[in-house]
Amino acid sequence: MEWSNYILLGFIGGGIFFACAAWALHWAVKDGQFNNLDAASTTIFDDEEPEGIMTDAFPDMKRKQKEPPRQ
Amino acid sequence: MNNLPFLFCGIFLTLALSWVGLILVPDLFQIGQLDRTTSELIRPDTEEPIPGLTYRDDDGNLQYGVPNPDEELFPRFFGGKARRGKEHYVSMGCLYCHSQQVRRRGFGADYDRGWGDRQSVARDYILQERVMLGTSRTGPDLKDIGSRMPDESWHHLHLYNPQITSEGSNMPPYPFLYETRPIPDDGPSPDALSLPAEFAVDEGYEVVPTRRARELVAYLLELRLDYDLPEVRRAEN
Amino acid sequence: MKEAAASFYQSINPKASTDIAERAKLSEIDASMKWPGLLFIVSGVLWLMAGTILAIIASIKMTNPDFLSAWEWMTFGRVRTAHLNAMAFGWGSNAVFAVGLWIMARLCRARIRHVGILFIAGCFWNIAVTVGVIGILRGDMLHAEWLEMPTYITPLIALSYGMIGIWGIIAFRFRQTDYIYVSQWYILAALFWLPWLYTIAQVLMFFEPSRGTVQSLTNWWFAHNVLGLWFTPIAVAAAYYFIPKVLGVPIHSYYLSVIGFWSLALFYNWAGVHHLIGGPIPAWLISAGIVASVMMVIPVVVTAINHHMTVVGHFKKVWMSPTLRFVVFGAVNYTLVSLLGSAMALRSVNEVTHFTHFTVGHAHHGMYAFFTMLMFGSIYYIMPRLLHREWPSATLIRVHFWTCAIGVLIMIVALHVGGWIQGLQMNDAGNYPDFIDIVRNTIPWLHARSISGFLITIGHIAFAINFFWMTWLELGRRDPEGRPTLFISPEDAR
Ligand code: HEC
Repeated sequence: MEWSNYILLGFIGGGIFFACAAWALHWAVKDGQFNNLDAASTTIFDDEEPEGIMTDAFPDMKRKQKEPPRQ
Repeated sequence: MNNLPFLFCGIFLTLALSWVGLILVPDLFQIGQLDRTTSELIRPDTEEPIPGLTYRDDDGNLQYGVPNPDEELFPRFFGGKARRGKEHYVSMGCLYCHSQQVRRRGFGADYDRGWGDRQSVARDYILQERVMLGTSRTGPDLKDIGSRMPDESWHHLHLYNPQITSEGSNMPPYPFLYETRPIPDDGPSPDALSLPAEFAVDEGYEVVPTRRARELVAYLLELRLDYDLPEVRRAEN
Repeated sequence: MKEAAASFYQSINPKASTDIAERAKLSEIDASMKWPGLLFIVSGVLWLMAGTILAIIASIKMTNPDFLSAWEWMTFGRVRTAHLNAMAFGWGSNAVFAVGLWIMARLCRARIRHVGILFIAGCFWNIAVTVGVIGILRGDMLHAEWLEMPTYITPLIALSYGMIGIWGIIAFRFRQTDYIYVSQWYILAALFWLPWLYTIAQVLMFFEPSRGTVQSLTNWWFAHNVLGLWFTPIAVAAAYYFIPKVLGVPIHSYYLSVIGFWSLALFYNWAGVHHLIGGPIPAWLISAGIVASVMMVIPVVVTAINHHMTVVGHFKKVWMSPTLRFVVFGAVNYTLVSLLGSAMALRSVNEVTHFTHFTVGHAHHGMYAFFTMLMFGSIYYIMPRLLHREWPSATLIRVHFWTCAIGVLIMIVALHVGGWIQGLQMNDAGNYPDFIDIVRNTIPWLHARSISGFLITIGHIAFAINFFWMTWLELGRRDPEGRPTLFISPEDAR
């Protein structure tokens, strides 16, 4: 095969790939895959390790020492 | 992004895509198609030699040349001794300091350093069951070492202790590939290393290469880029 | 036993309902992950120490080739390779299992099932790596970089990995959350990518070797992807988990993390070919590799914005937390190492850096300053929660951080500068016709590398003392008046 054929092949392959990617993205957006994304970002917190609370620190750098959190 | 099949298809496709592109396509269509060939190809109809891989026939169509049946095919097969030597090359880890590839003239200084008279191409490696292009040049490239350094005893001295031949080298010595033994009654062995005074062993002893050392050196001597291929010629490089 | 088998069957039976799973508290999940987590971390730390010793030996050999040269199994090629495999498959992968699976378990929020599988898999994995590393020292090593462990351990690795995979799928299947968090994407992807990479590479390199330089392509497809699609995603997942977790604030932008994930998945795959620039492979492949390497700027910058913007405004807290010190150090270095890596793939830069110690420096930048530091940080967070015990000494943690951070920075600078000079001289055959002169000029930089290695070793010893003190001597039990303690009660840090 001549090199021009490779380029043609590359273009066709690239085109198919790009079309697939565009379709997948379109589907994903329509399906709501990207809706409400930010809600997921708080799933790492719960009442044991709540949002707004730092959960790890050097002892001498802590501001004050209270009840130990866990037995 | 909370749909598992969606996530999974994407994860699978990205990897599959690179595998097809980087490995399958070259294997099926390019490197995998290469065979041994003669230095020059000929036209099958007129048997005239042609430059390069292809020619235009009388109708102006592009055609592939064929190997000349009367000439030697390249790359050559390694001899059995060299093949065993290659195993030692792997197991001693030579590959972590030495590459086996000559880059084209003008890209790096491989050519100016005399590491090869032409660049190495994919066809040079097709017979090798273990390809070691290498990624480090703590030491020089070895693709053409057999042409550059054809002297067996130099290699033995160098491997026994690189300081003998190349003071200041950080290549490790391989004394365990050599045997220090009493000189036999009928005189020193013919293959005993001729060590300079400062590296000499005790009086009455000699250092001889073991089988592994001889195989390793046989391998090094067969690493040669001394033939042309239709896609690269030494003169034109 | 029978009961366990029955419940295992229920877990893998696709028809079984997943309603039986219960939502669990974080502390309950931590408690059930205790034994497999400990197994992976303890073996990881032991491998880290073994790998460190091998590293020091190899580093000294580079400047003093006569050091320990009489023994065949101690020759440079083998010690260096044993070091790499001990670190990658011993320390690195055990850390990946511990940190990745622990985060995964916590994010799935379900009661953990069948930890026994993980425990057995962990034993198999470590037996396999031990046999593999000894095999390398014996001289059974193979010819492909990053895949040197002899083929007789392949089945055991595969078996062990398969068990871990099954566990991961079960854990994921019974998850009790509606959302899949960023870290989970990365962990899931990594758990899936590694077995494919490994299987294909093993087959095409050793069992059915492919033709000619296709092997080199396969080799670098694997070797680069094992960094990019195995160690990197887990470390990025850890950064995505620990930075918001410790600070107590959600990640800067969730949208960016989606872009970051998919662009990494798409481009990193192709980048490995840049190790073959100038080599005897088709030119279009090299171009594809270069393009992909440069495109890696996208996921890197996006992830960097996300990580660093979360931290902005909280620098004091980062300093207060042992975990975050390491994690943020790692995240910053992820940005740096990746941008440098993209630059190194450019032809003109590559012409200088290829084949030199620069590449070695780059590898340590990635595997150490980024990956390993992130794993240290994660372990500082995980261990107290697994054991319900404190780290015995805060001083040792500080020693660990400073020696390792300074050590690895010295190493990176020495190898980058030394390697760059080496590359320039190697390309200048006119002024440096004798190769041996170039070799001699690298020696001072290699000495600097050994010095940095000693610093790092001190850090690792401090870490190991603290770690085993905590684990086995039980001296680390929490004292309510508690001096060295890393837990902080919720009200403390408002
Ligand atoms: C630590 C890195 C290192 C390792 C490992 C290593 N070498 Fe070397 N090698 C060098 C260096 C540096 C030089 C250049 C100085 C010299 O000649 O010793 C060199 C030079 C050579 C040369 C001479 C090349 C020339 O053009 O002059 C040969 C042949 C060679 N090595 C073969 C081997 C073999 C065979 C092995 C494995 C058994 C090996 N090397 C392992 C670093 C290494």
